[in-house]
Amino acid sequence: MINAYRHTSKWLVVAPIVVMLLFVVAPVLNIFSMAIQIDSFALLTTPTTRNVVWFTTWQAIISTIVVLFLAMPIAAITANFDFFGRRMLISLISVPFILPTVVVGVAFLELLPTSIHRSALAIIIAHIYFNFGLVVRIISTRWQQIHPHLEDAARTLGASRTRLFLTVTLPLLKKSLRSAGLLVFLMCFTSYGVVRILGGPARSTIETEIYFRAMQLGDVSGALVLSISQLVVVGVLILLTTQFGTTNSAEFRQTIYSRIRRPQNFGQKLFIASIALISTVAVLAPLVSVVRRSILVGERTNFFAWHIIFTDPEIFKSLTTSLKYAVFTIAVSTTIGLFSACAIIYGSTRYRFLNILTTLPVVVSAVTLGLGLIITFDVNPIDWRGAWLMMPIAHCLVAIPIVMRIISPTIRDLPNGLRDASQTLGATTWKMWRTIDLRIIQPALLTAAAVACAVSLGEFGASSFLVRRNNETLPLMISRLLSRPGETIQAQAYAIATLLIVACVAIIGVVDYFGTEKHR
Amino acid sequence: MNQKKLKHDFKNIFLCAALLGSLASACTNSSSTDNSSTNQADPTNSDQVTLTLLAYDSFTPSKNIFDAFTLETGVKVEIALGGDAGELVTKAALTAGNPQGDVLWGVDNTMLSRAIEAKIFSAYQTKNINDLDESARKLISNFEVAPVDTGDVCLNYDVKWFADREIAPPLTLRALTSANYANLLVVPSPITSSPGLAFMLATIAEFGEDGWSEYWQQLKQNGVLIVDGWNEAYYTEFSGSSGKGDRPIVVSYGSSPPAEMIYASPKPATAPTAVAALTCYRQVEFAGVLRGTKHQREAEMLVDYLTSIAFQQDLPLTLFVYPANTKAKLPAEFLKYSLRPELPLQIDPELIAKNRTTWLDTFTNKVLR
Amino acid sequence: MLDCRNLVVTYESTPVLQNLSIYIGAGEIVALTGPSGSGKTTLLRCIAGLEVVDSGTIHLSGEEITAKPAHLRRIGLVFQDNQLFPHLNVAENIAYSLKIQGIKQKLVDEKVAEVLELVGLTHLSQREVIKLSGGEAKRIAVARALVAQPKVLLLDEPLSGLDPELHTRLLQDLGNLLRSRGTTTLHVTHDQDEAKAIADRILDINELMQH
Repeated sequence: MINAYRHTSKWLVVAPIVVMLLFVVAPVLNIFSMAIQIDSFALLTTPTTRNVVWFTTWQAIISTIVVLFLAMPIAAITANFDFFGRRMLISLISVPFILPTVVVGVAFLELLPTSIHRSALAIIIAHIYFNFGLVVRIISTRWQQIHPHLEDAARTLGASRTRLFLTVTLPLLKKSLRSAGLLVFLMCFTSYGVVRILGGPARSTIETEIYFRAMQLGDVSGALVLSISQLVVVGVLILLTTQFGTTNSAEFRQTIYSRIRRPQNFGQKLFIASIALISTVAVLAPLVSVVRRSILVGERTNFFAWHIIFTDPEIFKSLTTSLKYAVFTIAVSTTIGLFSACAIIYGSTRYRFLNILTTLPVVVSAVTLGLGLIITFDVNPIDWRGAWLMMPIAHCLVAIPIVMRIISPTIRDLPNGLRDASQTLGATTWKMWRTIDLRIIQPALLTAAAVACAVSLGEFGASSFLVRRNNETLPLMISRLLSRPGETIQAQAYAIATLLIVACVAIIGVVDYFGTEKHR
Repeated sequence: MNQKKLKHDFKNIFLCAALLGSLASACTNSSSTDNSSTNQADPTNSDQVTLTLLAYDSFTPSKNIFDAFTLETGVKVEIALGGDAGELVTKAALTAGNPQGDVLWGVDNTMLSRAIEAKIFSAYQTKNINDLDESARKLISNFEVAPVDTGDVCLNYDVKWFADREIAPPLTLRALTSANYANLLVVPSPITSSPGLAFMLATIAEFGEDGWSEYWQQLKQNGVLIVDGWNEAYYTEFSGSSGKGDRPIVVSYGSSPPAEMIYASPKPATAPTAVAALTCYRQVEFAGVLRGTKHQREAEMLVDYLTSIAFQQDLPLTLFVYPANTKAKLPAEFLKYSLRPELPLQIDPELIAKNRTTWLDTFTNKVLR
Repeated sequence: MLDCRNLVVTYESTPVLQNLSIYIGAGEIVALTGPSGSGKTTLLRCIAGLEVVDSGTIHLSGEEITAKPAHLRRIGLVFQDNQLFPHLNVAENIAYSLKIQGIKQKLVDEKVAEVLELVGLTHLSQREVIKLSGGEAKRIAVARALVAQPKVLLLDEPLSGLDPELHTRLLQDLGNLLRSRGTTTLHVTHDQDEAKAIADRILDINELMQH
């Protein structure tokens, strides 16, 4: 078979490879070769490290299990029933996933009673909050693809509802449960911001420990050793998720039948209403508490903080900086992400390594990458350490793997026959790509751009590291304002957090109403 | 076939190049609009030097404090915030010899040996050296850095809280383990906070290398609350400041009471907080010329300015520290409410350098977890 | 008109086409039969330029097109599963090749209307293609191929999977359409009756290969 894009993919790989080699591989190798010492590996056997690894693992496992459990009922109602506000509910529960960590952190500080502050419980609650929308979406999508006849068949064979769920539905959902679970585990395992804000000094994950080692103890070598061990674990997990991801999409293509019905009886209606209500409240409560703090100074309501954030030149500057970087991130990460997704799918199998290469920025801890960048771009003509460019580049590095994962399935699932048809109708390779591939992946591309925007607006870890004079973004501004005394200043931080919440809600709106895979 | 393929390839190269090109031009366009805020080549004014002063995030001197310096020398100063004190030193150590700025403000005596070992600084004896605090000067051997300010990390307590209950406030570290003060103390963690570290060192200075961890065990049994940072401890958990906290004893600075007075409105008749003098640990901060700067001479001038009376007099009310320059005049209200212990606790920087990691590991394993 | 000589195609050392030769004259409708898996589809794809032949030549109107890219061959192909573009509606699907050529919108509209009328589906012009029935989709696929004015039209099992009544009617319509336009056609089917009903000439793929 002739693959019309194969020649092109040879050139498409160039850009992602250059970007990753330059901004990820080189800096990381550079810092390793400069700072790591063999004796630091002894660190891996100390009780401190053992404690940290143990805590990192168990909190991630518990968060994952609880998320999977909590997601089930919501997935069940959204996959099976048509009810008022169904799409709205799905959109709403997706909001937390793209909220900036800083915002979720302060929201829970505000919402949770002080007795839970600085505890493992607070961390786990925040992790659940972050991830359950994602899990619902993954499971619900798969659930909708289960042909209702399968279940009908089981019921005619005498299976009770419970048995039906346990013996038919659950096994069919197993794969999506597994890939969602792995994804959540990964997020919780590498969590940084939430742990810093909610965990208190006693709770440390590998990621935060890397930071303490390097920054507070000045033990860069030890930090790198920890980051290697994290890289190994996370790398293996990512490979697993990628594998599950591919089998999933190959097995289940789009379906034309719909299993979504209106609820049949009062019991079902009650079930749906209560689940929908509970999850709505759960999503909104932390957000509302943030909004409340932004207009509550002392015991009285006032909008002074809101007035300030739009008039104070420093804060306004950070607003424009954030927007500027978001635009940059959207443009660059969707381009590079699109290039590499196309290269991997159109090109020969040897470009698969790009999958791993582009995942690196997520796998390598932010501290390692940040330190690497600082010592790498320090010679002319690329002494960029002081340049504003480094921060948006870091945003792009975080966004690219996500963009790729959003675009890839659509390109992969696009039937080759459409391209054949296009060619026989006279389209050149370029025209064919524009009129077929591009048009069909457009919704996914829009989704990717929106998510890239959210990533950039909320990015904290790498940003706090690379921030220079005058280029603070909104999350950094929040954290700075929060560290200053005075209720009015705190209220400003909450007002900015509210702005970011609004942005995230808008982004989910764009994704769900323009970026759906419905073709027209 | 091959010719066709070749033609294909050319087209593809062209397409890729065009895309990359437009990306690149987008970058350069936006960077040129941003140039005004960076220190790189300002073509219209090529002989003017702009120095980058690296400092910790909470470095907040008066806004126009460097105007006098620029007026006098023609050198501009830009402040680059480099994270907290720990981050600042780690980054500077990694980039030693090819620094990210020209002058660094904010290495303290707990990190001094780490910075000097990493050869971050190029030695310079400031012309103000003889005016600088003598005990602080003694901490440096070869003029790598100059002391710029000193402060004391001490227990602060909520005066009203203790008065209301007719309990005597704690005056020594030992007192904190008494049942009278159960669940009253909040401290920032030494792992993540420099006053927290100073307080831990105070306990080591007081109880010795053998006794301090036992002391912390007792504190723990007595319900000490350990939080991430000083902000959280002081503004959120402490009852004597603006926060709604419920703990009346906190680790803070000797200069915290004047800060409470000076920035309160309306001003209370008496200071709401006070300091336990025997619990203080002396912190000294230093500034120095970063080795490898392209503007050695200007950077030295800046260090002179940072240690000059004009700049030093700004410090008490902006950073709430004591100037290192003994000729600098202290504002009356600062003097009135702050406490300067005669004999602060201290540990030799060499000893700190040697044991820092071990001590912190001990703290993490025995106290935190 | 269309002249294929000694085509050889091998997939991973399994021979698919062995030394196959076929000739179709201008305006002729030729039916090609053979069991499934005998290489009929592969032959069509080779002629259309979607597959590469290992050896042999393909000539169209005297010009050798063996190495010519598919989009320049002007050979229409109606796929077994239609391959209508899901992101375009019926009219846009048909207009696809005209738009590619850069023809003015007004002229495009005219041509689309004309060919829709020809297949009798004018009323569906704005419909989404995923909502078409099997027979409707097939007519649109034929219309989309015809509007590009191919020199040769290749039909790959165009009537499989339709119910008998529809099959008969569509077969009739298709025959009339192709004849009235004088379209040179290669019609692949495994159904002998279908072949007899539509074709001027019936060939068995196995007899075209010289072993």
